[in-house]
Amino acid sequence: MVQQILSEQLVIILNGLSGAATLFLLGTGLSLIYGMLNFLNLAHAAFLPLGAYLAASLIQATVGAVGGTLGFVGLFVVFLVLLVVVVPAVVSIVGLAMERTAFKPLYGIEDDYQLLATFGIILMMEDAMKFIWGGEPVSATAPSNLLGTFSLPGGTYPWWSVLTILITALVAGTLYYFFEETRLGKITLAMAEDEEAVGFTGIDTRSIHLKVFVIGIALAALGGALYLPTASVTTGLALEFVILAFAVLVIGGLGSLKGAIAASLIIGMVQAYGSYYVPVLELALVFLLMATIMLIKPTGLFGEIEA
Amino acid sequence: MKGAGTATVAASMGLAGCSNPADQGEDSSGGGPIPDEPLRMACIGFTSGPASVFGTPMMQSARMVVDQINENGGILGEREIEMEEFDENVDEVVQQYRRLATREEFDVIVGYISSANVLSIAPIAEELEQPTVVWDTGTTNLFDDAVTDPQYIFRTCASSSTDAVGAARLLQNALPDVETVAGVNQDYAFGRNNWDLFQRAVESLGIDVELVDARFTPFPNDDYSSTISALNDTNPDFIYSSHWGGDAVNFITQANNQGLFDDTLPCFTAGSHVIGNIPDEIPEGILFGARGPHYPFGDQQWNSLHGEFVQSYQDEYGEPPYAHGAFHAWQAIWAYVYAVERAYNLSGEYPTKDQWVQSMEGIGFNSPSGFVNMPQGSHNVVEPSFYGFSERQEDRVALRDTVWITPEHVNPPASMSTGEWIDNL
Repeated sequence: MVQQILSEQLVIILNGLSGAATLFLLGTGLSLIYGMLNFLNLAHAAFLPLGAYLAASLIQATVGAVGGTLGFVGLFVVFLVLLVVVVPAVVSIVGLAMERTAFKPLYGIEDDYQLLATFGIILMMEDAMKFIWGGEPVSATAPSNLLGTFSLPGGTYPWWSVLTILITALVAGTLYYFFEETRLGKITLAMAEDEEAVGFTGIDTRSIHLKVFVIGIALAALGGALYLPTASVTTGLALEFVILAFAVLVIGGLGSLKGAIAASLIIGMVQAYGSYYVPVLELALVFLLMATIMLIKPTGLFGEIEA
Repeated sequence: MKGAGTATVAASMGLAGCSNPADQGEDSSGGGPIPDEPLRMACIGFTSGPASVFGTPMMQSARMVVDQINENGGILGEREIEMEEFDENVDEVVQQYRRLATREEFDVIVGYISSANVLSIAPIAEELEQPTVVWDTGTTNLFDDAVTDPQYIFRTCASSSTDAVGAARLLQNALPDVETVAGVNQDYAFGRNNWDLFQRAVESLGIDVELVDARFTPFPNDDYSSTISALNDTNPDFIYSSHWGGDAVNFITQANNQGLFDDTLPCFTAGSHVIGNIPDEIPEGILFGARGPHYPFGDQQWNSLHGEFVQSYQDEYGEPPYAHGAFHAWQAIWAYVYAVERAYNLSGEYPTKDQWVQSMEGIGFNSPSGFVNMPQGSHNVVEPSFYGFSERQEDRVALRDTVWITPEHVNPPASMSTGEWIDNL
């Protein structure tokens, strides 16, 4: 009996953590870019499905080409390299190209207009993805099937979700170290407070801009790549995730890594417990949370800049 | 008998011996003049957005059918069909409909997948006296509520009652060991309507099962893990689910990961198209419906039209027509064409739109999914209910051990609304 309850709770917690992982990877980039570059980029959410679509194509191609020949370890390593390295790298290049062309002209204009303009960009990106990958759902479950599932009293659970949690925790830890301990990280934090002052010291702020931007996009793409093997990607996903990305932003606070971690965990857990016990309120709970935070602490849990 | 469909009709109805007046050259003793200008047909479906899982195969099938008809000369072997495609994924469906009916002067508008959309345009169709053929929407409210005395609007597919009542009868007659039942449906009109009809049918038929859980998941939704965990814990014997598209893909994928279907039998009433998206993920032995018998594979003694249709579609598009929409498109366009040809052959004159309406009423014809007919007094085609267990074969997924339930048992009679009929089963 106790075993049953514990295993039930374990599954809900794992669900919450893996949901939090996706939200963290998506929301951190948005938060960093907005907080540090003062660029409110709705189109950021589109980089997650872009990562997922690309991951799907690469996985399908790999399975087609070498599926039978590599052993378990070999195939796993290939998948890992594709999803954790190749997909974020390629999507970052796309992101950089878009930065120079579509995003740069929008820096410095009012938030409202940035919102409108980037909303237009997200719609265009959705259409482009639909043009390339079609309107039907795309899935590629090979990496998850490779790892398989483990048994619990109530059912089974996929190892891939556990791996997602671990990889994301590692990424979060690395980012934390980066911002708190390294020189580049500290410069970035300083830029968030006062970019002009940093510029006066002779540091090339534009190159820092680009680095933060790339990190943000790469994280979103990684989020998409890790998300794909236990789900699917279809048109409209970007718009679905925009809302959640903003929830992370508002609850966690702009430009705050700690905030993004905290917010993702909170939203992930609320959604997991909510949809288990009170499914009808699942989405409502997240918005309730957002509204509460905005009333009590408008800058978000760890933010200093007003939302 | 003249007609683009003559060969098909003749073959399927065993009327091969019919003579064709057209062979008699210029002599128009076979009938009156047939319009020269092509027939303008608008086809409307979701070719973008999540519902494009239905709309894309549907539009592809429509294109294929129209091309085939035109290859044989067109309607009655003479009048070509000029078909234009329109995306249903617009904000102003009513505006779009009015424009197509009035300014663009389409002779017939064929379309609609979304319940909300069809309920908006149905009254307009009657107001504008525009021949309209609804090809896929399931909402029972179309003729129960929105347009209770239709003239110009017809639906050439069955409503959701076949899915819901069919599943209830399936439980009663074919799955006697089921004791607990749960529902997992998308939280919007279609999902709610389906569960409502199913629940009422189960109650009305007095089936001895306990409804232990009724879940409505957000629409759209990507994370089913907690819903599945909850279901793993209540462990129902049977799940009724009208899930479709990307949500169904996610639900099935994640259910596989969490072992939900190991001891729970799901029934995806409208989910057969998903088999085309994730053929490798479909577990063995789960129930699928196809909104009727609209499925390409299985030993169900299909008629010859079925094989031809599946093969043509496969040849044209490189993939089988797993989506029921592909079959529905065939039905809708051929219903329109047969009604025209039948009227012409019977009266000797090319029908006006009112004569077409009269010809459509009571129409019956062979289709790749069996005999399709519109009962007298109704503008809604009835179809049998159809469910089968997934069977993984080498390069495809078939449905085996299929159950067909006659149309009379799963569709309300013309004189009753669906709700009334179900409550009195």
